[in-house]
Amino acid sequence: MNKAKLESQKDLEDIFTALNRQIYSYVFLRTGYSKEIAEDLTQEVFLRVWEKRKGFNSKRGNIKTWVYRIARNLVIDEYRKKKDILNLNNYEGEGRGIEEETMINEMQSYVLKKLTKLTDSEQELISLYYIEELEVKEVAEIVNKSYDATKMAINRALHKLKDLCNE
Amino acid sequence: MNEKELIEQLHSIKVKPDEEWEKRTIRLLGITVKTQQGANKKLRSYYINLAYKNIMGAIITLIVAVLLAGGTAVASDAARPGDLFYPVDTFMEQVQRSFTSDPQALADLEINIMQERVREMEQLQTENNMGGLENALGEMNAQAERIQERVEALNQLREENKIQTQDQQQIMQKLQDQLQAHLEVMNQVQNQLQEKSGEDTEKAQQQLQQVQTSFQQGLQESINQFQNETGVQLEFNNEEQQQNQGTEDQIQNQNQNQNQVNPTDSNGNSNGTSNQNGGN
Repeated sequence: MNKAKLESQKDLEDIFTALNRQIYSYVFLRTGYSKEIAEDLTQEVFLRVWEKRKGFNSKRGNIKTWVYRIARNLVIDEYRKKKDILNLNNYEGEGRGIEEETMINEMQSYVLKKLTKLTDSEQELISLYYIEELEVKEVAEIVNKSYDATKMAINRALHKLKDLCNE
Repeated sequence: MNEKELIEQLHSIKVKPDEEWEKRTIRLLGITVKTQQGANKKLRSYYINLAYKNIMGAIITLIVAVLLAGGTAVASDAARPGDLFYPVDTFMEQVQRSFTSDPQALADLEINIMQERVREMEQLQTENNMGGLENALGEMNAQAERIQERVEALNQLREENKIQTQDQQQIMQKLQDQLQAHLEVMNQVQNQLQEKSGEDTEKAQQQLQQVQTSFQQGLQESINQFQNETGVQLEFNNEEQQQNQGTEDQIQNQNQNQNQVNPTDSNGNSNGTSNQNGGN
């Protein structure tokens, strides 16, 4: 995804096709595993990408991390607006399980349930690095931290999650 | 679960949106882009029209403003107390005062404004506008007080050596020249009023008498004070001296007439105006 310009409908469609699954996944995992919320917010992310297209500067980063940052800000805004709805700790009490939404197996579901016990920033790092499989450099750019600090924080979050999974 | 197994589990989690949702979203984005582009075109066209209208409006407004400003200035300058444009006239004078910081220039301005007040009074009398004349005489009194204040300010500055005697002398000379001319006009107006009858006319006569006294006692005293303090003798040309002498005689006559009109003032004390200041 090295598109450096975003000027036409075609450019936007190309970006959507390349990134929508990753962004959807990120939003889904960050907003209480709700399909409806993830769909709505992901649409909103790409609408904002179009609205803010003039603010994109390819010299300051690639378009992928730029779109992720838009998604991240939107999730934070949404979380502030609907704190009770997006409370990730409510995950276990939801009627419809994550398996139904994502077609994942029992072990994956177990890991995701444990993931919700981490802090928001730890969940975000695990999601971006291990699930979305971004590079440390990209994760650092999205969360606005240094490369080294991000790498250390990812390792710490993984160890914490491992401990939780082995409880 | 060891670290490697955990990482494998995390890598294997793939959350995918519905394909239908993907198609729906692409359509939505396409519509949004087209709508926005269309709206932008309309908006651009709207702003171009608006800008054109604004520019044309501004040009027209400017032309009207220039015409109006010129017209208003002319109209206001010719306005007399009670006229529609008279407040504009006095407002413009106030603006001039606000923009004049030099004390000598300010005194000079007030003397010029007094000339305008006297001209207004003369015109109103000619038009037999007694209501307007009363207002004009009130304005003249107020203007005389302003001039006195300016002269006092100059006196103060001179005492503090902040201005030279010669600098104030120019202003005082102008004031003296103007004062004599104004008194002459006032005498003429007074004579003309005496030929008329009616309550308003009598009232105007009395008011004019007060203004004359105010000029003599206030402004003339300011001139005398300057001469006494500095030893400077302000010049009179012969014609003006003659006029001055004639003026004094006329004022004496008018005062006598006034005393006849107002028997209560005939105790002899009120007729001292020319006696007090007649030595110039």
